[in-house]
Amino acid sequence: MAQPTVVIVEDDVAIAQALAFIAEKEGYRVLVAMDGNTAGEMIRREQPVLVILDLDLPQKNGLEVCRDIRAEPQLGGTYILVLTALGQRWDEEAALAAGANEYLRKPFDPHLIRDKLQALRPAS
Amino acid sequence: MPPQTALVDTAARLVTETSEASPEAQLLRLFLQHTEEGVTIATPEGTLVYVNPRQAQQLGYEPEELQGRSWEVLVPREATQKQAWEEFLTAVRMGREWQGTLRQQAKDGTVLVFAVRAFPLGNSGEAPEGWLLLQQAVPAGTQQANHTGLSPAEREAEATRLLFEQSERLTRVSRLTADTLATSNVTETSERVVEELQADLPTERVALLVMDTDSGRLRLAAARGFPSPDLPTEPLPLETLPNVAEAFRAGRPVAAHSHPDGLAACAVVPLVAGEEPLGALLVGEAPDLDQLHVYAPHVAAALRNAILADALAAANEELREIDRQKSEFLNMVAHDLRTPLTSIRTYADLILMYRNEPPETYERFLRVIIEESNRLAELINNFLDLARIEAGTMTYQYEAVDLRRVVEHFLEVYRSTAESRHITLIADLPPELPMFYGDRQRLEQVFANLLSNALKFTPEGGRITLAMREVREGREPYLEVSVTDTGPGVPLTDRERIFEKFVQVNDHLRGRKGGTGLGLAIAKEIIEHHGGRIWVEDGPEGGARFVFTLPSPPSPS
Repeated sequence: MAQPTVVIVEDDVAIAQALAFIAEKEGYRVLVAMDGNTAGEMIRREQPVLVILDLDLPQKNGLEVCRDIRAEPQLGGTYILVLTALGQRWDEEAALAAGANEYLRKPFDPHLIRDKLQALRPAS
Repeated sequence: MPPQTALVDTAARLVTETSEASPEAQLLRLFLQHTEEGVTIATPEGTLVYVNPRQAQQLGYEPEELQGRSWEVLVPREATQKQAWEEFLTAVRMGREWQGTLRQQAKDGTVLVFAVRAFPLGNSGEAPEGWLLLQQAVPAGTQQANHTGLSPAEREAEATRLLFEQSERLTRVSRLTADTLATSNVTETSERVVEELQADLPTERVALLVMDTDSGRLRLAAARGFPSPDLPTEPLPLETLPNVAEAFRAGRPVAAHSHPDGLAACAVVPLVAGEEPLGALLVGEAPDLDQLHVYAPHVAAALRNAILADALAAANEELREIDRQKSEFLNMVAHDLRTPLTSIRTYADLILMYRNEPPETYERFLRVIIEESNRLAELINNFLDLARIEAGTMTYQYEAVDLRRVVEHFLEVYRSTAESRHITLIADLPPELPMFYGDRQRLEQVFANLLSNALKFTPEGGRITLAMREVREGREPYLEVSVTDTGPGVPLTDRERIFEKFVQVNDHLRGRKGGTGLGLAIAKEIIEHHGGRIWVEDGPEGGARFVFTLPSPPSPS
C-alpha cells in the first residue's frame, strides 16, 4: 500500500509544523498549503486521505475550500477536519454544512489529531 | 384753480404751508406726511386740494401732480372696475358719510383696490364744504371681498373672515415645527416649508437657502417657481449674497431689488435661531414683508429641528459604526490571542507525547514555545496600549533621548535575526544628531515595531535600510526617520488603513504573519503625540518605506 497523504491547510507556520510532525510520525506524506487557492489546487491534484483545514485563510476562506472539495466526485472519500480559532457556534454549523466531517477548536489536543491519523490510515 | 370753499381752502393751507408754524399745524403736517394711511382733501365737486405723500405714492404720483385735478382721474377706464364709484358719488352728492372699497387707477394704468372712508367737512345738516378721504390699500389676495353695498355688519363679518383665514395660515405654518419633529430631516423639511409657503402666499416663487454650519455657506435646499438661473447652484458664503447679508443685518425681511446676486424682485427673509443664522427664505412677487416676518420664526424653528435631528441621526450612525468595529475587533483579539496560545499548548503536548526524540527536536519545540510566548506578551502589551489610547490615559515621560544610540541598539538586537534569514541590515545615519526630547521607551516601541514588521515582510536575501536625517529647509526643521524594506510593499488602498485602530488589515498582509497590525496604530499615536507624522510609501526597490518625522529641537545658539 502506498504511503497515505495528508494536506495541512494552515497559515500559522508553528502550528503547521506541529501538525506535520505528528502526521509524519504516523507515516503520512505531508503537504502544507498556507492559503485557500494553493490548498484547492493541491487537494485536487493529490487526492489526500485527510485534509486538516483552518477556516481563516488568506485569499479563499476555509469554508469555500471545503465546498470546492465536496463539489468534486473523485474527492468523495477525503476526510475533512476543520481546525480553527474562530470558535463561534455558527462556524461549526457552517463548516459541517459546507461538507466538513469534523470540527476542532484551537487550542486543540494533539492526541485527537494522532488518533484521527491512525484511524484513517489504510490497513496494510 | 377751481373755486374752493373757505373751509377747504383753510384746511389745505393748514396742512401744506410751512409758514403756518403753530404747534398743532406742525403736528398735523408731520402726521400727514408719515402716516401709512392715504389722506385726501377734496372740494365738494371732487377737486383734489391735498393728497398726502403716502396716497400719492400708492397711486404712483408725486403729491403735487394730483393737486387741482378731479378725483375722476382715479376712476378706472374699464366699466367692470367702476362698480363702487356710483355708490360713492351718490353718497357725496347727498352729503353723506361713506365707507367702502374703490378701485382706483394709478398713474401707470394699473388698478388698485382701496378701502375708503369719506367724511363730509363743515357743519352737519348743511351742504358739505369739502371731503376728507382716508384710504388704505387692500393687499392682493383679499380683493375678492370688495363687493359693493356691504352693510357695516357684513363688512365686519368679512373682516373677521379675513382675520380668521390669516390666523389659520399662521397655524399651518407653525404646525411645520411640530411636523418636522416627525419627518426630521433637512431635505424633507425644506420641501415641506417651500410647498406650504407657496400655497399660503400670493406668490409662485419660494426658495429656501440653508446654512451649512461646517462651511458657513448657504446652499439651496428647496425651490419652487424660481427660474433656475436666478438661484445659486452651489453653496455660497454669506458675503457673496448682499441681499441675504442685508436681511441678516436688518434682522427682518427685506425687499431685494437691484443687487447683482440674481435675487432681484423678491423678499429675503432671514431665518435665525438665537444669534445663529440657519438660512434664508426667498419669496417672489411683491410679498408682504410684515406677514413674512410673522412666518419667519416658525420656519426657523422647523428648520432648526430638522438640522438637530439630522445631526443626531449622523452621530447615532457613527456610534453604531464604532460599536460594530469594536465587536469585530474583539473577535479579532480573541483569534489573535488564541493563535500563539495554540502553538504553546501544542508544542508542550508534543514534548509529552513523543519521549524518544533526539535532543535537537525538543530544543526546537521549546524555542517555539518561547517565541510564541513573546508574541503573546507583545500582543497583550499592544492591546493594553490601545486601551490606554482609547481611554486617553497613555502616559509619556519626557527626557533627553540620544536617538542615534537608540537606533544602534536596535540594529544590534535585530542583527542576528536578520543574519539568520540572510537579510542585510543597513544603517544610514548622519555623523551628528542633536539630542531629542521625548519618551525614550515609546520611541523605542516605534522603532521595534517598524523593524520587526520589515523583518516579517522581507524575503530571504532581502535588505532593510534604517535611515535618519535632519531636514532644515522650511521654517520648522524636523528629523526624518525611515525604514525601507524589499518586501511586497503596501498596496495604495491600505496605506491609510494600516494605521487605524480596530481595523483588520487585509489578508495578504496578515497572511501567515498573523497579528492585528495594532503596532502601527500605536506607533501613529506615539509619533503624533511627539508632534510628528507617520506614513508609508513605495520603497525605491518596490518594497515599503515607512517614514516618520519628529520636530527638531531648536539648534543651540
